[in-house]
Amino acid sequence: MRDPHRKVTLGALELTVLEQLWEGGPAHVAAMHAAVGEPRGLARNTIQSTLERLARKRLADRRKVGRAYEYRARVSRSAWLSRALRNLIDEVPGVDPPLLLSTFVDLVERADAATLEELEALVRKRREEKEGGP
Amino acid sequence: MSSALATAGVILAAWLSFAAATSLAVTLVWRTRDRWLPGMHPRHRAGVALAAAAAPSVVPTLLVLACLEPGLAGLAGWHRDHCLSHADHLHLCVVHATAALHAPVATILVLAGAAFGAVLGRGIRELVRTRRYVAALRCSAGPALGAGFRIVASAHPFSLATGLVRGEIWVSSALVAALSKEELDVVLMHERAHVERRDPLRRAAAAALSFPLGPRARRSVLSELALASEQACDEAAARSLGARLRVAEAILAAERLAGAAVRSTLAGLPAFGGSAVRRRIASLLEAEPAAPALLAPLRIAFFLAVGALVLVADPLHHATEHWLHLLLGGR
Repeated sequence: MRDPHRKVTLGALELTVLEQLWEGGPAHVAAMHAAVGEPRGLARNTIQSTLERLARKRLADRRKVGRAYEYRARVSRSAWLSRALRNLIDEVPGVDPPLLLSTFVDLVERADAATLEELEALVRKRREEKEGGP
Repeated sequence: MSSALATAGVILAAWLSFAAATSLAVTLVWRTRDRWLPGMHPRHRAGVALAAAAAPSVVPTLLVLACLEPGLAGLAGWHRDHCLSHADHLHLCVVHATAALHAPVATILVLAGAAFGAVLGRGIRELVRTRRYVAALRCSAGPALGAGFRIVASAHPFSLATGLVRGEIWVSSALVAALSKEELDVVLMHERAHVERRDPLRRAAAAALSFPLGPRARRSVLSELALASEQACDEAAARSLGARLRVAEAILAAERLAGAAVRSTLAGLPAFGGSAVRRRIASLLEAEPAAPALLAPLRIAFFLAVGALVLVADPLHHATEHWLHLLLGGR
């Protein structure tokens, strides 16, 4: 029996295809090729084998609809992120240490780019006021 | 069920009753925190959060000990044995054991005892995980440097303070390489403040003692403790350096580095929250809040309260026995 918590690694293209399944919902190979393959100049066969690999890794399900297979994500984005973070924790000291420890900045609760830019602008402004003041 | 087990069950029921009442009181008071907590110095906020986390375990333990005092004092001959004066309800006493409990009550108490064991097991697992984590850090770290920290070989930019008894500071090679000397100074001052404040021990104690709280209140209390501790260390670093903006700039630089590192490892990882960074920076842009010396009066108040418990031990013991008799229907 497969261990549901076993480590699963994904290549960049597999992750992009999985992202597309999360974003766009179930898709046939043709639709996935149009969304992910064509913009990157990839052949339809490459996309098909990527979807097959996702199905083998139990991250996608496939079912026959008409004459073609339709693929859908088998894990939610949050479940995948949680599992991927767990893998990181096991491997990399420094990323999400145990609950009892705290890092200088939290590695799981991330500020987004817009928040960081806004805060940096505030600090810069205050620095300019301080240095330009009497 | 033997009388020893029945007595243990009665003590457990008393503890659970007090824990439920304390947890309810802490939760209700905690809900009003927006009115009185934000103006406090982070050091005091951390103290309040630690007290809120510890109260649901510490208060019932003190109350149960106070309830057991009359029986023990009677045994020692210090004063009249309370238990001898009544036979109409069960005894909350280690000297005069309760004969037996009704089977359903006993079953519930056994289940509660098992739940206690599970909580204890979870705490031990977390401690073991922390020890393994620190051992992994030690394996990949160089020798301790003169500045009191060790560099860990890692491509991820991080720094942290560990150690429940003896504090240690760890900084990753990636963070050392990416930050300027001024920024690194801030990080080290911040981590040193964690060691001096014994924050790893405080967090461990808060996590362990807050288990009777409901999950939502517990998360909120522990997260306030974590944030207030970080801010207290930011304040300590700002005071040592005499430069609040330098601390804010170092936090933002480290946040940028950490975000980039996690995103490069996990494509598609969204940003989660970020409210902690916002609050830390906003606080550093203001002047340091006043921090009146509260520790000594609070310590005195705590010891006075414990002393008062001894004075009211007899009526407390009696009232608790009545309550437990209603609750458990002893035999």
